[in-house]
Amino acid sequence: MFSKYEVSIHQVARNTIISSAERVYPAECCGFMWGHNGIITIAAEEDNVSKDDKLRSFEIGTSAFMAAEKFADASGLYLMGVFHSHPDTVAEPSDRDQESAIPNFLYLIVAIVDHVVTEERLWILNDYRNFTELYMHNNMT
Amino acid sequence: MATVIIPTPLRKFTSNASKITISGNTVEEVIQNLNAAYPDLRKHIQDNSGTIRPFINIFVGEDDIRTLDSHHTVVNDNSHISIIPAIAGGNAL
Repeated sequence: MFSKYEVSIHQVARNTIISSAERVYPAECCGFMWGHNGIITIAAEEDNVSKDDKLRSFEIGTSAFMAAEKFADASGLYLMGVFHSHPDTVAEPSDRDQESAIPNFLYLIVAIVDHVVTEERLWILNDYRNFTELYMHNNMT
Repeated sequence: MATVIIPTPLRKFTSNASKITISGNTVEEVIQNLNAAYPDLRKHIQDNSGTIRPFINIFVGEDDIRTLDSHHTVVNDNSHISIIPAIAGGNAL
């Protein structure tokens, strides 16, 4: 699906993610990413349905996940992962991120401070259920 | 034989199969038989005590089994059982 250590992202998908983080700040944004062959080509924001403090948590509903799978099937793309923001802190997985993480799924975390995105980092769960960081570079397509 | 729908991230553990037909009269029996057929899948669905992980949702048709009879929910040959990971997290300490 993707290189173990390297993934690229189209600028349009990256822009969607950054815009989402900026728009919902100081709450956490969230959404899905699709693509193929290690390239994230599309991202789409989803509603944060967390019942906890949305400034510190996110959740995407089950119906949105099923719709994301259907979109992948219909478009010939692969549901590659999820993005979310960490307002006013770093783009590193929290304990809550790790607790709920699933394997073979990318986790893009965006740090945003005072409405400005400061960091974008990509993670994946390893065989020991710990996060490993992946190198992510821009694909200007 | 109920049909189990596997989410994309877990298909690595089912030889990339997205739908699997598995015998069992209840959700619990189907999950047990699924894990027996695909042992590497088990740790991502259940904890060491056999309890479904809190961030894994099981649906029969359109209904979350928490709103039915939980893992005792009865299934039949026409049942579609979906394993749906909860996509959640965030910066909560």
